[in-house]
Amino acid sequence: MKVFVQDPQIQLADLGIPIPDAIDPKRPAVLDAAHRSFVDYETYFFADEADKRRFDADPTAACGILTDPVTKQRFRPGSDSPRSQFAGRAYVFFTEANKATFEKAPEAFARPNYDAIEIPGMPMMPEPPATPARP
Amino acid sequence: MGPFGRGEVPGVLNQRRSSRTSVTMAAMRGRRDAGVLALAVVLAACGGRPAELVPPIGKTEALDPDSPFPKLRFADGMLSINDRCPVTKRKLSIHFPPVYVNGQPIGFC
Repeated sequence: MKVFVQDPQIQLADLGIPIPDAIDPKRPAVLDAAHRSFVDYETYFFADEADKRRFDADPTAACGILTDPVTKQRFRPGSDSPRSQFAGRAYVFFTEANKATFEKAPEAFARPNYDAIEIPGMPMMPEPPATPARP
Repeated sequence: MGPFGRGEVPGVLNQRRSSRTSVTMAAMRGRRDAGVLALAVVLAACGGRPAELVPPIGKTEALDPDSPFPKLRFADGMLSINDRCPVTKRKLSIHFPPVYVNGQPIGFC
């Protein structure tokens, strides 16, 4: 999963699933970094650079439902939803309070914490190797 | 009283009424259009579209548990566009949250 979110186009192309343009779904998106934008935890691909520019100018107009990076709630952003930027990536929040929390510690919220996902029967962190006791 | 009884000469009366009515309707339509315009201006001034939460409608589950590679239906009701993990090509796991690409959920394992 961590591998995927860095460059999703590699695995998407491998899967062979067609991804339509985020602005004009009738056109197929180009799956490469030049035709890609990120908003919150979501990735968007576009058919051409014009559509990418249009999307980047106001992501809330075409991004659909997002995941708030602070509360992890799914929400449909409004035209005046609070926004921020971190590490070259756009972030949109459900509330001003969430934006303020994010901006205090952006590293903590900028990416989903996949290490914290609990899978039944699987330890979250590998146990450190036992060191033999010294005589 | 004429040949048509009370309220007779319906054609003439109705014509008059309808022409008067159409003037009134046109005026009302004009007022309605002005109202719609005013509402649009107010909405634009207020920021237009408000944000809204999209609460989960269920739990993540395999669409066809008997299939070797079932697609997943996520808590938001959306169906994974893939049926196997994009990284390992194994069966999808309900324990991993989806990653959304162009609004479409992709499952993992």
